[in-house]
Amino acid sequence: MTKDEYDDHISTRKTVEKLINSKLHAESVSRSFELAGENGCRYRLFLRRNQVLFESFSVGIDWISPEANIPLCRYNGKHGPTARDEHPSRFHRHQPSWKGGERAGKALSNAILDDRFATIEEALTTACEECRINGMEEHFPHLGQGELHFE
Amino acid sequence: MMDMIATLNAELNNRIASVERRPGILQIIAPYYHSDGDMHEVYLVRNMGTGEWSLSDLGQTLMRLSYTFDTLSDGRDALVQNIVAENGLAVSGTGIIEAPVNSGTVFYRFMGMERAISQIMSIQYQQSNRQSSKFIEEVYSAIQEFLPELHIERDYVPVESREDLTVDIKIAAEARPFFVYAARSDSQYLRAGISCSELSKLKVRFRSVVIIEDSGKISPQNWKTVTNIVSKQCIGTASLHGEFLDYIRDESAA
Repeated sequence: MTKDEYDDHISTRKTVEKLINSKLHAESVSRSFELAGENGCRYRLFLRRNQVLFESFSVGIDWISPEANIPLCRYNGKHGPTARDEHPSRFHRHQPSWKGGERAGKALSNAILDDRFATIEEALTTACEECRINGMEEHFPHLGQGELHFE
Repeated sequence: MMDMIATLNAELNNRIASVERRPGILQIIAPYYHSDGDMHEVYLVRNMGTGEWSLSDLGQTLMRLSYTFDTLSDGRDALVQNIVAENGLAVSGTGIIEAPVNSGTVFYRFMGMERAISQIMSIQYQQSNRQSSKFIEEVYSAIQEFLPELHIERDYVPVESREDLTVDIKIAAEARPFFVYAARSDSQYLRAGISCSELSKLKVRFRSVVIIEDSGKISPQNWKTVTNIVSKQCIGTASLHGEFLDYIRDESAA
């Protein structure tokens, strides 16, 4: 994937199409959605939040490619301090690294501090704005007030 | 509790630190990382009732695995259970990996936890390749269409406790069933060979057929190894409707 292709995936308008059955993990809040892109591609958005450490959460977006799901970006909460000085321990965004205009590896190894969110609700709002996702209000009517009401 | 941190620090060259995330929950800061650079999340958790400590991931490992999989297949779930058990840990019904610890056990429990996290996260690379599924689907459809009298089964597990030896397609036959493997890559090809070898050691009676989509993707070393293990190999999708079906037809009648 080139940087231009990646930018197209991020910027294409997407609409939430359906909730995906997501039952891997009882100890975290867990929701996944399938999205339809205006470019004809399909995407997956997931939300995860640890039930003990509420500040530990992730909102991620994958491209459902013909071969496999390709992670595009993740909006992450706090993991606590890390053993690497250069890696953000506070709220951060993961995105791919690029090498000569091509994506370097599958992992979202480029982690950047992000001060636009401090809760999973704000991270979801940020993800929806940045990745141009519509229709989340249908599943989370109180998202505008910063509330998700998972249960 | 600080004596456990001191033990870990002494064993790991002073690379360990800790931070209190909640009363009775201490995060261990250690140089073990996920592929995206995030640190493995391991905690010392005090039981408020008994005062005893346990090592726990607070469910973060399976939460991270769920970035890739919304649900786990029975095979992957069994793999997680095996990994956890082999590393001397337990997984709770809510997905928390944990083990009781004291200063005498904390080091090897901690290393078991780190190893388990790495092994569990490697499951994400088993993300099903949709093209592979399509290829298996093609093989399955060909058998269904041209040999409708045969009873076939997808994702067959010949030995209940060994889901890692799952067969792509089983074709029932009077003497011995056929185990069919569809290989799109060198690793899938080698997996087919290893599975057949293991099943033979476990005294399972079968005939094996590997259908290779593109022989150019198979390394000479693996070719030599697997050729000596399996009963029959067919190359290319074109062979599906010729050599492969002829073999199944002839052998099942024999």
